[in-house]
Amino acid sequence: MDWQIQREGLAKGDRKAQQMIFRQYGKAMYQLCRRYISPPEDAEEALMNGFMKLYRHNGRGEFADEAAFAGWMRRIMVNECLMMLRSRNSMLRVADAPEVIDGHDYGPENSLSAKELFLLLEQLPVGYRTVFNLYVVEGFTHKEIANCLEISEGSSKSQLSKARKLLAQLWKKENEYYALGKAR
Amino acid sequence: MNTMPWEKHDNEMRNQLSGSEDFLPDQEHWRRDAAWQRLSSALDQPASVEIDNARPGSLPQYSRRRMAILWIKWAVAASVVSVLFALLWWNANFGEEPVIALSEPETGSGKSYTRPVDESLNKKVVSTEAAHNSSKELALRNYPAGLKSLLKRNEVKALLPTDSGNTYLIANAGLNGMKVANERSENQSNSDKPVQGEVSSLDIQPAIVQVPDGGKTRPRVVHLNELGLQAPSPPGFDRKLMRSLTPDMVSASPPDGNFGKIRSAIRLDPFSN
Repeated sequence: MDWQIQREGLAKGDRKAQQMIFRQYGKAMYQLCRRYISPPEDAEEALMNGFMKLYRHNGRGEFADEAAFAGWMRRIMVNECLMMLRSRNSMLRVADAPEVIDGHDYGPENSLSAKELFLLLEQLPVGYRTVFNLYVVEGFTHKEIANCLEISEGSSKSQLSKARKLLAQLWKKENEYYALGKAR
Repeated sequence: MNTMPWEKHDNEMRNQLSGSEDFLPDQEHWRRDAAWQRLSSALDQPASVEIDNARPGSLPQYSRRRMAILWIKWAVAASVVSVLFALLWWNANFGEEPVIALSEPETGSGKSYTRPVDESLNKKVVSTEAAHNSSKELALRNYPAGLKSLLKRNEVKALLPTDSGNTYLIANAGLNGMKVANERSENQSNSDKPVQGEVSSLDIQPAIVQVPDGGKTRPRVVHLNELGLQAPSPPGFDRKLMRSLTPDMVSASPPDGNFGKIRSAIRLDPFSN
C-alpha cells in the first residue's frame, strides 16, 4: 500500500491501515522492545502501549515520508520500554552486576551475529543493557541518555564502558565453552 | 589476538540489531496475528493511555511524575502556611483575655489602692485609683486582636504587693505629670505568681511597664504605637536607668503602698516630665 494512502488511513483511524502498519513494523518493533525488556510478555505489553499511542496520536498525519514515521515509531517504542523499566524500578539496578575486570575497551575477537549479540545482551544487567542499547543501537549521545534516564553523563559513560567489558568477558566465556565442547 | 575496538563494532551491531533480521531465540515465537487481535480490541476501547510522550522527538521526561512531585511540594508549602496562619488566628482570638483596670482620679491620700472586684461585671475587670490628680477615667479599651496577642506575649511578671496582701497595684499609675489613661492589672492570690500591668498615656505613646518579682527577670518598659505594635523607645528614654532597677529593689518595697524606688524609677521616664 502506498505511504500516502496509509498516512491518510492512519489520520482517519482506519483499522485496515493500522493493521498494515502493524504487519509491516510489528516484528521489528517487538524485537526492539525485547532488546530492552527481558520477559517476552512485558515486551509485548510495551509494544501494545506503543502502538496504541502511535495510532491514537497520529490523527494529524504529521509525517510526510515513511522514514520519518518509522523513526518516530522507534522513538515511541524506546520511550515505552524506558517507562516500563522505570515503572518496574529496575532501570539502573546494577548492584547485582557481575564483577567487571578492568581492561581496555576491546570487543570480541570476531564479529558477532545478531542472534549471538542479542543472547549476550540478554545476560547484561538492565542498566548496562539499557545504556548499551541507547548508545550503540539507537545512536543516542551520552547527554541524551543522561536526560532520558535522569542520570549523569558520567554514569552513562561508565555504564557503557562496563557493559562493553562485561560483554567481552561473556563472549570470551562463551567461546571457551564452545571450544571445550568441540574438543570433547 | 585479533581484537577490535568497540567503536568499530558499533555500526555493525547497530545494523544487525536495528535491522529486520530476526535475532530472537529459536524457541521464542512472536505471534503477530494474535498480537494484532489484542491491539485491535484494545483500540476499540476508550482511550485510557496517555500520549504525552508520543510526540515526535520527545524523550521520556516523566513529566507526570515531575508534575506530581511539584504539586506535592506546593501542597506541603500551602499546608505549612495554613497551619501558621491558623496558629496566629487562634492565638489572637482564643488567647487569654487581658485584664482591664479602670483608673479613677485619686481623691486625696496620695496613695493607690485597689477597689474590690465587681463580680457582677467581670471577674477580670478591676478598678484602681491613680496616685495623683492628673489622671482621669477613660472608657474601657477595645483592644484589637494584634494588641491582645502582643499584650499577652509581653505579659510580665509582677508588680508591687499592696497592703491587702493578695492584691497588686500598678505602680506607674502614679507617674508624675503623666496622664494615665488606663491601667491593666491582674490580681492573683498567690504573691509568688506574676501580675501584669499596663500604662497608657493620652498624648504620647502608651507603654507597658513590666516589673519582675522573685528576682527572675529585670524590669523593662515596652513601648507600643497606636496600632498596638511594639515601638522603639522615644528619644531621651533612660533605659539604662530602668535596667538598673533590680528585682531586689522591687521586692524590698514595703507592702503599704509606698512604691519608693519603683515609682521613682518610673518617674525617670521622659513621659512623666
